[in-house]
Amino acid sequence: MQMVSPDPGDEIDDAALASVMGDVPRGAAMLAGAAVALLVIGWVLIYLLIFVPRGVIG
Amino acid sequence: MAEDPHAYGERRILRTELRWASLVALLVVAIVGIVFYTAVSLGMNPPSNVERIDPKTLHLDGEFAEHNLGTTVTPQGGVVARIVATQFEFLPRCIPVPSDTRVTLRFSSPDVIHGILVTGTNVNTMVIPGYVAQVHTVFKKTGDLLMPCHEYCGLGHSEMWATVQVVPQNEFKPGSDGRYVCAQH
Repeated sequence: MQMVSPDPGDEIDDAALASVMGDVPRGAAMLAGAAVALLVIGWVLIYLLIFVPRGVIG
Repeated sequence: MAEDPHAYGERRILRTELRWASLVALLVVAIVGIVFYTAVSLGMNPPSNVERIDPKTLHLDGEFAEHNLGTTVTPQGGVVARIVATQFEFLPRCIPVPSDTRVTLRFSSPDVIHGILVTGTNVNTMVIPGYVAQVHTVFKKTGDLLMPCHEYCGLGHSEMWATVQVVPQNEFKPGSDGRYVCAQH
């Protein structure tokens, strides 16, 4: 397969770009993981510590 | 032959995305599982009372006539409060209830759709003309709780609220007719 650089004018070679692209998901996963973890922990705490003890209304 | 760096990068990204999708699917399953478990084991369901009533004659006769509104202790010992939600007030404006007792709240509307919630409790329901909305709850703390209309019902919506006065169980002594009214402040 022929290597095609996204911008032939810059000085980043394909190997360096691929290396960076390989590292990007780790940071994104950390960010998304922290955000989702906070959301889920908040939901579980409110559900189990506030909503359920208030009892059934139906 | 060495692997194409692009293909290697894309493979890593794909693997990360699949892991993330699996994790999110697991969380969704866990949350739905918790909700399903509490629904089955504790009966934790939304209010689902389906009971018809004629909104045109609501105030004239029957359960929601003026003399029947407010809090009543039934001969069986149950505490029932009947409230009419109308533009733009609740009748009565103060609902006394005993603490640590299962209370039934029954609502109906003669005009438009209203909604109620009682602060600090799970009590929350729509009040739809033509139907009786019913919820049960146990008030654990004494004091005055705000009960606002939470469904926009017209220009006076923001003025539409009532008070649920939770009195200690041993001070809740209804009259000989089984009725109990709020203490004056």
